[in-house]
Amino acid sequence: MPTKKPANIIYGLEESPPILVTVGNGLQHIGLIAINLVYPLLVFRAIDTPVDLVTNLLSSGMLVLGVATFLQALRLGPIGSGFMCPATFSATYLGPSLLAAKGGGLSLLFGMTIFTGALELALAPLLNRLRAIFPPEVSGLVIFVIGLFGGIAGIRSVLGPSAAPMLPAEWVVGLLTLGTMIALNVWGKGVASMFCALIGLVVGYAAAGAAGLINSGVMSVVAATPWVGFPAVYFERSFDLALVVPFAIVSVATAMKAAGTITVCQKMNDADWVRPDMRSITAGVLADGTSTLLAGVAGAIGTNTSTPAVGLAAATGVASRKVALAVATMFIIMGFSPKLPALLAQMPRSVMVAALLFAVSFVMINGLQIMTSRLLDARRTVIIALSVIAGTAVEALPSISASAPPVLRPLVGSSLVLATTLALVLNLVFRIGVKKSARLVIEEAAFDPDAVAAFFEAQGAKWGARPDVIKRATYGTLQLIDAVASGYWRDGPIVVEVSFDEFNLNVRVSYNGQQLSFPDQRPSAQQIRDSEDGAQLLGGYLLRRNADRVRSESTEGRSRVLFHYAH
Amino acid sequence: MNSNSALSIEEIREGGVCVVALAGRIDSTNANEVMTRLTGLISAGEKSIVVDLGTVLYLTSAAFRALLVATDRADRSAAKLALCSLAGHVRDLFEMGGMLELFTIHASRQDAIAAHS
Repeated sequence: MPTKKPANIIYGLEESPPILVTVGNGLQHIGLIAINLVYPLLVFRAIDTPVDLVTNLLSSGMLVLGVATFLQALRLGPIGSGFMCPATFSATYLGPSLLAAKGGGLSLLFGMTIFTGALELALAPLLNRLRAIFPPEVSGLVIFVIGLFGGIAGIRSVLGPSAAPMLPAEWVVGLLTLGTMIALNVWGKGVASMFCALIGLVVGYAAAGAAGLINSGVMSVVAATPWVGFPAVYFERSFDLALVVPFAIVSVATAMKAAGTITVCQKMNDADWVRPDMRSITAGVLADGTSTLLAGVAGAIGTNTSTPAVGLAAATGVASRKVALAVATMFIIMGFSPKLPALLAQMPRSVMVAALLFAVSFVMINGLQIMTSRLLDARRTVIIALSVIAGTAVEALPSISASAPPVLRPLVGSSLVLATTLALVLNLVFRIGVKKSARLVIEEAAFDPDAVAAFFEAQGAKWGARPDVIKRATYGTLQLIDAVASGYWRDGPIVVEVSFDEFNLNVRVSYNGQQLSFPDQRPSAQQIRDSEDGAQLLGGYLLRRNADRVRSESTEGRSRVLFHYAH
Repeated sequence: MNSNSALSIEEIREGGVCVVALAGRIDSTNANEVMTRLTGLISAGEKSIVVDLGTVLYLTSAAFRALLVATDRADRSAAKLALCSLAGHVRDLFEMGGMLELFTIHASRQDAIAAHS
């Protein structure tokens, strides 16, 4: 369905910006996404992968990002949302990928990545149902601990017991890299702020070179790397049942993150946006899962939609699909040009950890924002606090895992798995008795719209329901009663039954009389004008648009309409 | 029916334009009243009408029909009828129903009067 371009968008999804704008914007996206190459790099380095193989794998990874960005932008059958929503490597995969790489090398890493992509594909049609299991406090917590434990993994790689001691020069280079990124991000303006991570990396490399941390042998390897080349595919793959849980958590987390990013894209491209369109979200998550599956096949860690890139599109007002195609093309060109991956593969560890700490800071805060988007009552406080403490305890005290009975080791062996599992279990326990319901009977002669509005308002306040959802439910009920009042409602009372749990608000309205129709298409202006039936058709259309789902049935002269609102 | 959000209609003349300010809720119980008032103004020879919806709480499909009928009547009588000050929930309803394209809409009453004067 064609959408209306919002006022702040200069080049909409279907529009073609001038070539310079397209290329310039494409480069900005590449600059933004480049820092996330640190995630696969960290994993490959953690198991001492030879430099030439790292170069090869980073090249494959860039090709995967290019293909993933194409898949998301082009709608190939059921796959792809059609939005300008580039792909990136994600911190979400960092912890489990390190576990897999350390436990079974690259073959296990890529095998488990294929499993994660396949699972995301299977989850895509079920996303709506998952919301109940992964409410914001749990999904936010998962993202928060991914950032927190990702940062700790980075610190461990330089300061852990098995790491070589940090040289004074490495401390200086690391602090300079991190300081540059932070300073440009906090105080920089325009391009400097936008490219803060990339500029920080360049400064880090230069400082490391000046401090003698990059030896001439390394530079000659980079110099000898050809400008054009084809990455070889790393063929071995393996699978470990013990890693299914951490990778399954990652799969759900990335699917939900992709759903969130696609929703932002929908809002950004449609001035008349009312609520998430599940078709394009499912197609987007299918593209995201396919990309991760391809990453496992090609030899990379999993990918995910890039939320900062979508934020950049909103900030610049350039949301054209052509920019996505430019970004994808640039990634593919870089994938066939091993010079840049060769340089990245040699990243000094002090620069790499600085870049990682900068990147995961934003991941953590993103998680924090999601967690606090709901009122933190006693239930949520306990879920969040206990889960963070449990996950952190596993990181701080390795003896917990070592002394655990073998059957519990998969659970307590990973901070991410323990924190997420505990949050999930506590959430399910606390859901007992959460569903609430209320009933309003409207007698034929006593319909008062204000009383209906007051009923919804009072119940909404009592249940802690979101005011915008209560407002929609109120309007839906009033519009339905208004539409059936003339000719459809025969006699007797109208009964309004409302049930609420944290994720669903269902309103069931029943009355004696004829069913109203709920058309998918708006009736024409002439149809609406010509008779009162037109007003009722429009009423049905408004009701269909107002709720997330409408179901209508009639038995023995009693009609029932069920409105479902996702909460 | 009893209600404290009942419709009120106020008619003001500003800069040669007849401004009809509606307040409260507009539904099937009072949409005819709105339609009769607007079509009455057109029949009386009014050539420039601005309907201010700034303090309307919500409108149902019956209200949209009333506004469409009045707009059509204005078109046939070579008169101009525009809406103004759609805000918050009311604007959402216009968007949701795909109604924005069916009316001439101005951001504020001042803009509407300036366009009609």
